[in-house]
Amino acid sequence: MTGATEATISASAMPDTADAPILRVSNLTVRFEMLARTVQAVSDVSFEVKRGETFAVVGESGSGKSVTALALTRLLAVPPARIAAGEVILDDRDLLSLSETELRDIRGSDIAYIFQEPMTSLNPSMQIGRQIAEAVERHRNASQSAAMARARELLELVRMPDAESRLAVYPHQLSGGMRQRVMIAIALACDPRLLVADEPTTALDVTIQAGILALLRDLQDQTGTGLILITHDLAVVAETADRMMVMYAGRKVEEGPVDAVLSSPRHPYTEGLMGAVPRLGSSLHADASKPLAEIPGLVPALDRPIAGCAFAPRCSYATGQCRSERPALTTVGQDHVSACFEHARIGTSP
Amino acid sequence: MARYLSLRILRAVAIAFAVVTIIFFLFELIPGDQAMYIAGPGSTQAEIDALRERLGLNDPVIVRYVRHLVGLVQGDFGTSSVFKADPLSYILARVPATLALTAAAILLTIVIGIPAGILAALSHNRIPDLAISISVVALLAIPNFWLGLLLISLLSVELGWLPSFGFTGWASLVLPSLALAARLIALVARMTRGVMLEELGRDYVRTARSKGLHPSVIVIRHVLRNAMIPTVTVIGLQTGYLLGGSVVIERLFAWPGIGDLMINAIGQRDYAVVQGITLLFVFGFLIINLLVEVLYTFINPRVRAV
Ligand SMILES: Nc1ncnc2c1ncn2[C@@H]1O[C@H](COP(=O)(O)OP(=O)(O)O)[C@@H](O)[C@H]1O
Ligand SMILES: [Mg+2]
Repeated sequence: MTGATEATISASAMPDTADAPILRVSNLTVRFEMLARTVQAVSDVSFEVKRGETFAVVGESGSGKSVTALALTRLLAVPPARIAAGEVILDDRDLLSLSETELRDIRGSDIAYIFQEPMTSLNPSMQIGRQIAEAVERHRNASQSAAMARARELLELVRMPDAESRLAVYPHQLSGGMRQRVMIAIALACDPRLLVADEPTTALDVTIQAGILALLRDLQDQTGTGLILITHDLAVVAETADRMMVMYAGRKVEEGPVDAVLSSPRHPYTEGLMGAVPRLGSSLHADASKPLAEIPGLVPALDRPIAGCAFAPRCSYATGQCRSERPALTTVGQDHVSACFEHARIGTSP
Repeated sequence: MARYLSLRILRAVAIAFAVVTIIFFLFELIPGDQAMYIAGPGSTQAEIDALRERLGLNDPVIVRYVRHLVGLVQGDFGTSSVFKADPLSYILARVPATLALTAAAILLTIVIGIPAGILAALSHNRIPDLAISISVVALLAIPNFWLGLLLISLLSVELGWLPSFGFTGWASLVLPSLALAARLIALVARMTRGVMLEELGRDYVRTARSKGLHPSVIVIRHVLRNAMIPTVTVIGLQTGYLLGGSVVIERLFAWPGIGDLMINAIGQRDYAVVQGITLLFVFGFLIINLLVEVLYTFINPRVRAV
């Protein structure tokens, strides 16, 4: 665990390395090409994740968060998915142009995932010890017994009670929260530099969510790993994340430091989402399972190009320009960008 | 596990009892005097009457039913009108041939049906998948005796590659077992394909991919086992039906098994043999089902825990 000290030192004394991005995504565009239609699920999305930081991705269901996450290491099924454009740079290498073989060395080793559904994301007919150990064996030259010893260590790390005897247990013998701990153990198996957690607590009981999030935060402090946290829950973002990106209809509509975005949102969609969180910061336990805001109107269909701003039909600030021309991302504050013509008016009107 | 097993065995015995009862009363309804068949042609009425008295055929039906049950429990299957003796040894002598045929058919199902299904799933919507899917439909559409005739005329009569009459060595096993297994091979291939596709789309496969595992490792280590759970069950349950199919196929290939004996016995009104074979089929069926359940329990940890 040298990462722990490194991370704390670099965060304060060595701003250069702390600010160096471990992952840089530019202009990512993902389409699903099906027989009858093509859906552009992610359009021209760019962002960076820095060392040890938590980068939150929020947006309503269907806004392209999961597709973005899976596209990073090309985990989407091809076909129907096709990554039409973009770069995902890790260590000066573009993951999108690597071979499958090269990518397999990166999956689970440099970039690891925690998925939403702890019920189905584990193999039902394999003991959890094996499921953790195989990740270790894959990337470390570890013998079976060494890998199993590491699996046990990992179960202790994720605070699984009675780790030793749990190694031989099957997923159905564990509760949802415990299964998600197993998923986290798998993800941490090879000390990844970047963890991608796609709504890691959405499927869990409210009382268990806080425990899993606290665990993730602690582990991140210990290991200094970067975290992309996809979530429905702005309260979690407020409490956990350093920076955040808001997605709508496959596009990034706002991005910035969490404090800045949540204290003065510069996109009407972000403002709308915040309507769901009565008092930020204090509401983690109040309503953590509730989906994001009930913004009137529907998410637009993504199977044809949208003229103007995709959010305009649901937006109370919308003008004629919004309906005909798509707003580009513009700087609205320090490290804070928004794709809205009317960003200066947000918070002032209806 | 022991409780589970004893429960299953108890149920099997109850089913066997019900079947014995049904067969007994069905035979009661069939016209014809058993004593006449046993005595054989040319016997006098007095001889037949004496035989009927000696066999207790004049007793009330309930008495004969109970005696029948007691006899069965003691291994007494009655008297064969053809062999003039206890039919059991004649039936048992035919068992190995039928077992060999059934085992060969299951082996063919496993080595052809399962790999074909896996190949189809892994080449989803591409040429191998289409070829296999078309073959499956064709095999399911052809009745197995017709396929048997086709195999005989082509591979045996025309080309002379394989024997098709009786047992003249292990090569004799090829054509009848192929004809017998064809349907099951097709069923299992289709089932395996479906289950594989379903499993390949599951979330745990995505997790396995996110670990950086090679696709072949994912298929072999993760997907196959889960896909085999329903497939093994289907093979096991269908094995019972292979016994039924073997009656026709054995006749067609003059295979010296139980099915062949059964058809002879029916033709000669040899009730004792028909009854013995029916019971044997029933027990065979029950034992196979029991084995399938044990196997299922063994490969599926979710059931094992219960
Ligand atoms: N396998 C798929 N085939 C077709 N469309 C898909 C597939 N997966 C996702 N999509 C589409 O991509 C869009 C974004 O989905 P997703 O990234 O899962 O949203 P979320 O933000 O809720 O995670 C949705 O409109 C969805 O319909
Ligand atoms: Mg999602």
